Amino acid sequence: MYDVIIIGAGVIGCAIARELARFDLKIAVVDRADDVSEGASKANSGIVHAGFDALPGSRKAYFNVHGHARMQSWASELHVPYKNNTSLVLALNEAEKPGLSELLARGLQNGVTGLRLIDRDDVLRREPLVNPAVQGALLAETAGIVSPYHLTIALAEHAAVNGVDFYLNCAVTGLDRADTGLFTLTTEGNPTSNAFGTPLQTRAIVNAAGIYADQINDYISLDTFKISARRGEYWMMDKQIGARFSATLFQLPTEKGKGVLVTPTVEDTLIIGPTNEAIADKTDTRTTREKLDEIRRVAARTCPSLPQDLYITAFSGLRAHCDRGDFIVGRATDVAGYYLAAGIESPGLTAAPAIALELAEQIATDLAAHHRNLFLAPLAPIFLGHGNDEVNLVALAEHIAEDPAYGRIVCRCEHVSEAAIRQAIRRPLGARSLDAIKRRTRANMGRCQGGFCTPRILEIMAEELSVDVTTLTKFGSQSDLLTGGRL
Amino acid sequence: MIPRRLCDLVIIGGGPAGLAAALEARRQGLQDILIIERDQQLGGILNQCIHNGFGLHYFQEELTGPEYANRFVLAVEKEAIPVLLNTHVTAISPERVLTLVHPAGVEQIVAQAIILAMGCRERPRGALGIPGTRCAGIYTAGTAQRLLNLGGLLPGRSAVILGSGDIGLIMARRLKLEGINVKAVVELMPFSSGLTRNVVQCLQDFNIPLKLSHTVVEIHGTKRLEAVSIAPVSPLTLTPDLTRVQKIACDTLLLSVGLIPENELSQIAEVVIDPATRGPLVDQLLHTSQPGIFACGNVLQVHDLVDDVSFEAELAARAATAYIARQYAVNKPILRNITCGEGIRSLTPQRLDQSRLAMPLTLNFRPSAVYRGATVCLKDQHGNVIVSSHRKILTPGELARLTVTADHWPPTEITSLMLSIEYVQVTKTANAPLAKGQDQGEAQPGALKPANSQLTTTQHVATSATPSQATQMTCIACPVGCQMTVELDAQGQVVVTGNQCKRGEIYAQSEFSKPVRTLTTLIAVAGRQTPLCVRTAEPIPKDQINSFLASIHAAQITLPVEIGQVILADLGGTGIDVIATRNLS
Ligand SMILES: Cc1cc2nc3c(=O)[nH]c(=O)nc-3n(C[C@H](O)[C@H](O)[C@H](O)COP(=O)(O)OP(=O)(O)OC[C@H]3O[C@@H](n4cnc5c(N)ncnc54)[C@H](O)[C@@H]3O)c2cc1C
Ligand SMILES: Cc1cc2nc3c(=O)[nH]c(=O)nc-3n(C[C@H](O)[C@H](O)[C@H](O)COP(=O)(O)OP(=O)(O)OC[C@H]3O[C@@H](n4cnc5c(N)ncnc54)[C@H](O)[C@@H]3O)c2cc1C
Ligand code: SF4
Repeated sequence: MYDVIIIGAGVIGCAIARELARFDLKIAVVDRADDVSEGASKANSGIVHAGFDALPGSRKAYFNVHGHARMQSWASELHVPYKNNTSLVLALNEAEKPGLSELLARGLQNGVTGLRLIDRDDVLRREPLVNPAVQGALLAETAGIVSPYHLTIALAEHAAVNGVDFYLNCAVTGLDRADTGLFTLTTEGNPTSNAFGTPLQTRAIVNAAGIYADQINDYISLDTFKISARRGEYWMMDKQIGARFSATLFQLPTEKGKGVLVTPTVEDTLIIGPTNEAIADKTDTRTTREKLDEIRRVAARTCPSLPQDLYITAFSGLRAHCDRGDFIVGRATDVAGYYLAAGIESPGLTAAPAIALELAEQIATDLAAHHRNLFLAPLAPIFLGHGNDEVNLVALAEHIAEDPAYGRIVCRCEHVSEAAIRQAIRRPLGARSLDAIKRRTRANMGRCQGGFCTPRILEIMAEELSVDVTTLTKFGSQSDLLTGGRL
Repeated sequence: MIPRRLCDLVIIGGGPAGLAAALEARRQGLQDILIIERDQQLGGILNQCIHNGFGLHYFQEELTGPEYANRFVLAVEKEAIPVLLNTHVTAISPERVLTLVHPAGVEQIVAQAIILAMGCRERPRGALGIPGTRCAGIYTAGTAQRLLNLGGLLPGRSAVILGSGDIGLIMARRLKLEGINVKAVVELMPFSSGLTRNVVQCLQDFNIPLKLSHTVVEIHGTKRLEAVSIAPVSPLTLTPDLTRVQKIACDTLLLSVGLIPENELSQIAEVVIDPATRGPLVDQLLHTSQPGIFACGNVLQVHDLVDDVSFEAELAARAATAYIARQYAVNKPILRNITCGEGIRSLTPQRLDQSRLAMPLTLNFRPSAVYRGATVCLKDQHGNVIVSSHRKILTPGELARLTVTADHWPPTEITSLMLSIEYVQVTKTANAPLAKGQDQGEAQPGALKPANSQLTTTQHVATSATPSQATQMTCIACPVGCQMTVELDAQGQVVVTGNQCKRGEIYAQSEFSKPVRTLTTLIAVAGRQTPLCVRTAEPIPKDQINSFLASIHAAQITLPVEIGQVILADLGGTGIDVIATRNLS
């Protein structure tokens, strides 16, 4: 029996869990996937938006600006890679210049600071690879980038360290509210998960189910809405080119959204994208030829000289677009004890801290909860031992002295040690799949995309998890890696 | 403080390049040598290449990869050359300070000279941008090779292979021999980029279709791969015709779409990289742009044959040894650029040190298309031909060579050189006397046009020999790949037509009467993860491969096993033994 169950272990669900964990409540998070952050929270642009984009007065604008204000301190507290890299909205011809002023005005209305228009020379001085046809830009000094899945994982770990239970591989297929006010969940999934046996019950329920939030809502509320999936496809490029950019580069937004951007990531790779396409099937995270071509074409407006041979991978994410056109955050209108964080499309990542704080506050108040005396700090991050200067090398040497596995490099592109991989498995909510290892260590994510290190990582996983290597998966059930078995 | 020490010659990488370099440096009298290898054993990529086809040039003997490596490893042990295993070089400074990470800690070595021998990596899927889902079941061919040959793990049950380079071809046969259904090998170009020998022995022998001028256009399957869509491509633009898509059900896709020299370290050392080879820019001594840093093997350029890697490494070792002995200071390098002209995709060395024209210069180059009956020309800045050589065939699949000796050089000053492929009316050149019957076909004076491949889109398999009927076969003795017809005449004599030289006839005769193959495979060892790799000591009759395979797989192995040890004597009464090609203890 829980006080609060949160459905969805994306950045929103995990942030809420972490904030609620400060109170004397018994909390659980359930997710259908095999790891946290398997939804939109793993596949997005990772931009910490300054807040000039959202419609003034909207919930999006409010949570964007307030979330943004907290992101830097959250990231540093949680040891999550974050950079205040600034952003530029480019006017690529004279006709686009008025658009910049409109955005500036909107930003000021939303309360965004550090916004100003800059001229062509200033743009090219900051970003030499930008299209020389550029006429000027709106500079957002406060914009940043964050690693979205690191943030989600760190929040989940921090919640887990403070007693929050996570049920992964556990899909919610039904939800009932008894007259007593108690909710009972029907779940499906991996029979080994703890959820089986006794049904999960809770006093309060939070719907943070991303693109499926409408379905969860339908189980319990008559105040319905519709979430449709809008796919965004991306290209990722090598660090060689990523390192030559600093700011996030937007083109002027159109009615279809913020358009194709070009941005370095916190890991120095470069991403270009996303597209924006309504799709009927909510599991359809394909990339398509047309869209991948389109991205290259449109991105060439921003940077005509992007090299053609430095693509590492392509991926896509699904935006949870709500027919109400805005975020739905807070108490449900018709069911006591039911809370929503639905329709959280962009800038949902940026908004996460503010959404979590607001919901946690509401729930704690409604359940008459008190702050715990003891709230543990986030875990130290996995030691990756990067950097070739004396300080980093000495730190690495110290780690190796403790555990020689820090000196065995498994992933040669990203220099990830065997110890780091073991850590990724042993930590709370440890990795159980190859993709989960990848998100926690970057092993497999470099230029060779796992060509060299996959066999060794699988060996380590089998050893740590005491399973046969042929049972390992890429991202949970049915994504088996070695369907041919052994010789 | 990070401990620091000095060393004369540090070799990064313990693959065939690093091993050959170390041995040659020792032969040159150098004492203080160190080989650094990140893996737990020496041998590099050869450890996972359990097939035969190595060493024909270096040892005049056909070996498997582990056997080839083992010969060098034994020699390195005998010479007591120090080796650091499980050690990753994470950085090199331009001043030749190397940073090493290993399970005993972090250290730095200041080297007099460094030989880069880090090999290459495979191009991943993303680099191709194949659209579709991101499900499990997509591996590079090399990863699958490692999983299977070193881990005894089968990636899937049915596979499509994209890319017909040697690795793709070899893996097609490997999977097939271990019971995986290989549905097709798909190749973008109108020709295979692998050796003809491999097309015949890895695909045709096993009835695996080769879809030339095709590519994978989409990946299907939400969790595990379920199918791939393939489509024909226009040979000129290489764009797929999406109206002719065909779906092939399979649970595994192997990518064999190119190798990229592994030069991240070189770049940290600020070594200049040639965008064409993606390896360091070197002069004829394999000296990179950084003084005292040399490069050889796959880190310099992707090689087809390990034998060439070994020879190249020896050259680098001699140069590095001379550098350490300060013989370099005698004459200052005068560097001239050698550039790629028409028809040349990449070449090494990219620079000529003009102060060293006395030593022969061997240019390695990769043509950008298939050329038949063309001439390779090296010209100076005025367009004067320094050396030219006529070739029956040049294909991107084979690294070609052109040697320039001291007497070729003009007395005048050279400021730049260019290598190109031309179709010229061939008068007799000193280097390459015309083979009889050459100079026909596509050779057109003046017009430089890649020759169309003779292969049809789906290659058909040679039907087995029946006396009355003509048999078609492709000659595998050289890259020309003549299409030959073999039949019995009225007297019962085997008659071969279509061959351009005697070697073709010899091959056809033996293929026709009694085709034989060396069989390489794996045997699972109880309680051990790594399977034992074995081969037949001699080639066995081709048509008996399948029946022998079962008895080989059933063999019981008692450890330890030594390389060369007989595992199964007198296979099926052939008098041929099955021998171990790796030590396993
Ligand atoms: C292409 C794209 C680009 C974006 N770019 C940015 C950006 O640059 N900056 C920014 O601030 N925001 C951006 N966003 C928005 C941001 O990514 C999302 O708002 C945020 O990740 C939403 O988090 P979430 O936790 O609500 O959803 P999700 O991460 O999707 O989490 C929902 C979770 O619920 C689980 N779930 C669903 N149904 C069930 C069920 N029945 N039972 C159990 N579990 C269930 C899912 O498995 C999933 O893990 C972008 C979004 C997309 C798609
Ligand atoms: C699948 C396949 C099939 C082949 N088939 C044939 C064939 O039939 N016949 C033939 O003649 N040739 C064949 N070859 C080619 C031949 O094997 C290669 O050309 C040769 O192995 C290259 O040697 P190398 O030493 O340059 O590289 P590798 O063998 O790749 O060795 C490089 C070594 O450097 C180490 N290293 C890299 N970076 C670092 C670092 N930072 N620190 C420490 N160590 C490092 C690596 O671990 C590796 O051991 C094949 C190759 C492959 C991949
Ligand atoms: S017949 Fe002669 S020229 Fe033709 S492929 Fe065979 S060896 Fe080469």
